[in-house]
Amino acid sequence: MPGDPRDALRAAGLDRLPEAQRMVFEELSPEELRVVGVIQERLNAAMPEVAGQNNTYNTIC
Amino acid sequence: MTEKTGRYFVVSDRTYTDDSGIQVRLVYATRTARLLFVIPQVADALRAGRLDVMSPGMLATLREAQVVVPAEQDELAEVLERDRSAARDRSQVDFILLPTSYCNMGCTYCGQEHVRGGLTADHRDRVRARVLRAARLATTRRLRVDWFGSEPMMGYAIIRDLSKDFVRVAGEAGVEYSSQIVTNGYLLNERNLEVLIKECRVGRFYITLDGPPEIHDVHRPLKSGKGSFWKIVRTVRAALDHPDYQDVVFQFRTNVDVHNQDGVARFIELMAELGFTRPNVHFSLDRVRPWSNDVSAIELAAKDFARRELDWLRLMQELGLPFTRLPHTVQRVTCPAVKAASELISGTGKIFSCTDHPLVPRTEETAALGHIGQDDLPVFRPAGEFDGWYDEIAQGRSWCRDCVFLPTCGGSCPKAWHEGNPPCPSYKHNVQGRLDLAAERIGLRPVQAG
Repeated sequence: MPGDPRDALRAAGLDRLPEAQRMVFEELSPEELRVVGVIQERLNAAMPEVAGQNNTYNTIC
Repeated sequence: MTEKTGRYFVVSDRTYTDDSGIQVRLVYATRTARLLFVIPQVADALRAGRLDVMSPGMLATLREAQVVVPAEQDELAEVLERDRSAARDRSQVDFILLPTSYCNMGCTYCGQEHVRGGLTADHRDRVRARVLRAARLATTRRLRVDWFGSEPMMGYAIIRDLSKDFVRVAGEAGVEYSSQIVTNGYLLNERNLEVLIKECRVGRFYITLDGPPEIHDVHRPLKSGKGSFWKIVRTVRAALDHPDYQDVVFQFRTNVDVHNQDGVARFIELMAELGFTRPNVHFSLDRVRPWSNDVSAIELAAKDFARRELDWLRLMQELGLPFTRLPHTVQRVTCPAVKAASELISGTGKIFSCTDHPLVPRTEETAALGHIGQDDLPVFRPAGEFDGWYDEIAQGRSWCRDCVFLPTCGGSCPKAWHEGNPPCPSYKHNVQGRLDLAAERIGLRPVQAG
C-alpha cells in the first residue's frame, strides 16, 4: 500500500514552495504527485551542470 | 478560455521506471526548452490532443511550459514575433572582432584563407571608437565582445589593448560587459589566461579538439608541423584547478568527419581520465560541414552522424563529462547575422553580419556591409543578407516553418539554407535517444516492452 504521496514532495523539499506553486501540486492527481516527488528527489541528487549554450557561430574552428 | 495542445513539444516514445515502480514519460517543450516528467496517461492524452483527462495541476504545468496554449493562438506567428523582437533589440550590443586574419593551424577541413597581418593602428583605433560609441548609447544595457578567427590569439596584443578600454568604459557607463573567445587553444598559457580572464573579462573559451593526440594533431596540424594536443590540454587542465576560474567555462568542440570519427570514443575516455569532468567544462560534437569549401568527400551524412553521436553522448554520460542532452535555453536569436545590433569586424576592417563571410575569399570580397575606415558608418551595421530570416521562415523558404524544433534552433544557419545545405541540428534526428539519456541520467530505465 503506497504511503501519502505528499511524503515524497516533502522529502524533495517541494512543500516549502511559494503558495502559488504549491497550489499546482495540490491540484495534481495522487499518481502525478508521487511521480513529481520521486523525480524531484532524483533531480536534486543529480550533479548540477553548467548552463551550457551552443556556440552560435557556425564555425568549424 | 478554450485551450488546445500546442505544436511545439516532443513526447518520449518510451516509458521509464525505477525500483519504486513509478512510470513516467518525458515531454520536451520546445517553446520553453523545458523537460517535463509526466505519467503515461498524460503523454498519451497529449499525443491524442485531449485535455479533458488531465488534472488541473498538470494543465497548469503544461500551460506554463506552453505545451497547452489558447485555442486561437497562432504559435508559429508567436514564435517568429518573439524572435524578430529579440533580433531588433538594441539593449544588448554584440561585436565579434577578428584581431588578425592569420591562423597558426592548417586544419584538413578548413575553408578559410589565412593572411598574415592584423588590424592596422588606425583601424584598431576606429574599432575601439566604434565599440565604445555603442557602449555609451543610452539604450545599451549589455555589451558583448567576442574574439574570433582565424586564430584570435595571434592578435593577443590587440585583444589586450582593446579590452582594457572596453571594460573600463562599460563600467563607467553602467553597462554589463561579457566576452568570449573562439580559439584553437595552442597559444594559451598560464600567464595570458590570467590576463584574458581577469583583465579582458573573457568568461568562456571555445576550444576545438578533434580526437586523442595522434588524431587531433593530424586533423588540426600546426602550420609548423608540430602537434598541439598536449599543450592545449595541459594548459586548460591546470586552469580548472585554479580557484579564481571556477566560473569560467571551457567548452570543447570536436569536429567530426570520416577521418576522425573512429577516434571520438577514445577521446572521450581520455578526457574523462584526465579529469575534465568538471561543471565548468562542456563538450560538444559537431559534424564537419562546408564552409564555402567542398567537404563532400569527408562529410558524414546527417543521420549517420546523429546515430553515432548517441553512442558518444552515452559514453560521456557514463564517464561524467558534461554535455547538453537537449537545449535548455530557447534560441531567440538564431545567430549574429540576424541581429541588428550585432556585427563582425574582420582583420582587414571590413564589417560583416555573418561569421562565415570574412575568411572565405569569395564572400570576403562580396559580402562586406561596410568598412571601419568609412566616416559615414551608421551606429549599427547596415542591413545584411540574413536580416529578413524570420520572414523567410514564415514564407516557407526552409522547412523550419513546420519543424517542432524551430523555437530551440531558430533555423540554425541562414547562410547554409541559402546555399542549399540544410543545417538541422543533430537532435532533430536523435531526440528520442537524447530523451533516454535525460531519463537515465537520474536513474530511470526504459520499461521493457511486453
